[in-house]
Amino acid sequence: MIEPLLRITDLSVEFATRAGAIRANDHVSLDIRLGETLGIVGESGSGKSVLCRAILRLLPSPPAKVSAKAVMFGGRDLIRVDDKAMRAVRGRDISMIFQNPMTSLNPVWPIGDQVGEPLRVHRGMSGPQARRSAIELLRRVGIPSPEKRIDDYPHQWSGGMMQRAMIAIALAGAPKLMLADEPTTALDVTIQDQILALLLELQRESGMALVLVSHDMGVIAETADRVAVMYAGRIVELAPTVAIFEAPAHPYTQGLLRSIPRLEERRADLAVIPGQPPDLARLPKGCAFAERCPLATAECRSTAVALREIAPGHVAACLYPERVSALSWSAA
Amino acid sequence: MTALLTRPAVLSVEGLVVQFAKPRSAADLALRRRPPVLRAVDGVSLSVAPREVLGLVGESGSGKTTIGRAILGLHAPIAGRILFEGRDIAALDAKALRGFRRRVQMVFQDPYSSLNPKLAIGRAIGEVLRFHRIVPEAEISGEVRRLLSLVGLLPDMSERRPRSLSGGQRQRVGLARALAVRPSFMVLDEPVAALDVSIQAQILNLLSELGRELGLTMLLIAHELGVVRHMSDRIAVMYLGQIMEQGTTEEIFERPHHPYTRGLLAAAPKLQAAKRQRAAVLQGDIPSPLDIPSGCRFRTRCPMAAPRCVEPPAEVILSATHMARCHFAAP
Repeated sequence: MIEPLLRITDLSVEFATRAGAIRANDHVSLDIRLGETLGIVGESGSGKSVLCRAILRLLPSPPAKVSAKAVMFGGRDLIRVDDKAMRAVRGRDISMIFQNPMTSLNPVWPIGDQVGEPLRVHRGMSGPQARRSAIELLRRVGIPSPEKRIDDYPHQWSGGMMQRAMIAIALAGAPKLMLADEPTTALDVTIQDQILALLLELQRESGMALVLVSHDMGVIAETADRVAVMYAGRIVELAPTVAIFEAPAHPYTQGLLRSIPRLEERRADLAVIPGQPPDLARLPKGCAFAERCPLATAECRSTAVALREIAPGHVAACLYPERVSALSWSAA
Repeated sequence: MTALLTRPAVLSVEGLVVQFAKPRSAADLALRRRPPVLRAVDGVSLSVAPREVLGLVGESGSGKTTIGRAILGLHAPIAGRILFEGRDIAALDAKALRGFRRRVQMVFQDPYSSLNPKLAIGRAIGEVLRFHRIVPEAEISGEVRRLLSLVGLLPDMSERRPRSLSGGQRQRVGLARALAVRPSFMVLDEPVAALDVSIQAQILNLLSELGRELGLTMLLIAHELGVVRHMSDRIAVMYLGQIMEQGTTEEIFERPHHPYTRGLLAAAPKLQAAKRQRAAVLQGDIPSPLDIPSGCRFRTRCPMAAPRCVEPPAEVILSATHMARCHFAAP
């Protein structure tokens, strides 16, 4: 087996709050392979965005406390390299785009300068060189007549165009890995469609790996090669995309899929996962989903359930994966 | 203008036009020009039959929320009228208006900003009961408990403040407040858009159940096509202030005629694992509502656009319930 591009081992993130420590990531281990699209899906508070930020060390400390056995990338442990080395990794080896392009771009700086900045910083280009390359990058992400638009300010652009500009900035360092945190959530569906097409096209051209974080199972189904499902700060299932959608082995994954109203058919009633996600300040000793799970037993509540292999390349953190396919949820 | 309804309507919107003027800027004053006008709703007609759910779907700037707010009387139309039970709401006297405001209620998208953070939820609901004199003073606390359990909350939660509730619970409180006055018509503006997927299903099922039990008529405003399909009997698809296509849920999803409807359906991600190879379905940006294209307003993005599309298309009637506003639509 070839070495993964990025290997995360036992990463935990805690935030100190007045109400006590909140555990946002709880012993997450994950490999990101060369050139793949890895989808990370989960609801708010599941820890998917925190995970991306922890990889790039973007979490302010305090309040965040990040610990990990290792986050290996290109032979180096990103958790332990110094700040200077980390700055070189960010934007050049690994870049990130965020949910809301309207707040990610600097409103008082022309877009061209913002796209050119990583070219100057990471590639040592001169001002005029960076400007020419910024125009090319904007053209590559589908901005029409970029030479005329390069001196515009962000407010002159639509949300879709701003997200294209964010992608251009993220591409500027020719990264090996792009982390996209809900990149289309703030966009309309026809614009989302354009941005997803663009991301996958750029990925095919450049061979970079893409981590696509989304709460939208449909977006994940259409883009990912593999999917990690997160719940209460942990990965509860990880599998090739087809297996996640056709043979989920964790009750949470299965419930989530059945609770979504479908475009293709109308169902009488939607499955309902009862209750709510647990309080991250008081995570239970056992499975964090047990309280909402129809399969839960005393054992689920008392022992921590580790990820175990269900099929080659398919792991789930459930004691009873064989019962998941027959599981039914009430509609109440 | 056809009603596209096979039964008498409880609510009809006829040729509605709503516009907003931007405040006059310094530049407008200096140049002695009028500030730009945004026509958010531009000639919309639709009808809703008793106990029916009409879905109103469209992207940002389509005017769907403005229609909902105009029905509540929150925006004054510059043309057209809104009839509720046959009466023009603009012509109601004070007493009739109070009755109308009780019969028609709205549920908002954001349960975090639509509740007073300082008010215990029981009081937030009780206030509505008192104002509209729904029950005598002595029965208010009992009625609050009944409403809380109606929306699936524990009656003893009435002392809690919104801050201590989850998003789904707050949306249930919003629903309880709307139901407190025993309305017959509800405008639901993106009622689940701010909620997590597993909580969305809880609220959607609750809405269907309450609609059936209480015999409510609903206008559901949403951008999520799966949600609209799941909930609606009929659907109107909006784009830049106009209805592009209207039909039964089956007509819209199984036999869409308008290229915009088709594009919207094709662009929405499906729950089937299949890595996409295709290009985007619709190119270009949604034009600004301040600068709506002439003729067919969809023509700047339409894959079928032809020279004749510089003329505004008429409504083409495809069946007793199905309309598309496109030069190329034919029954």
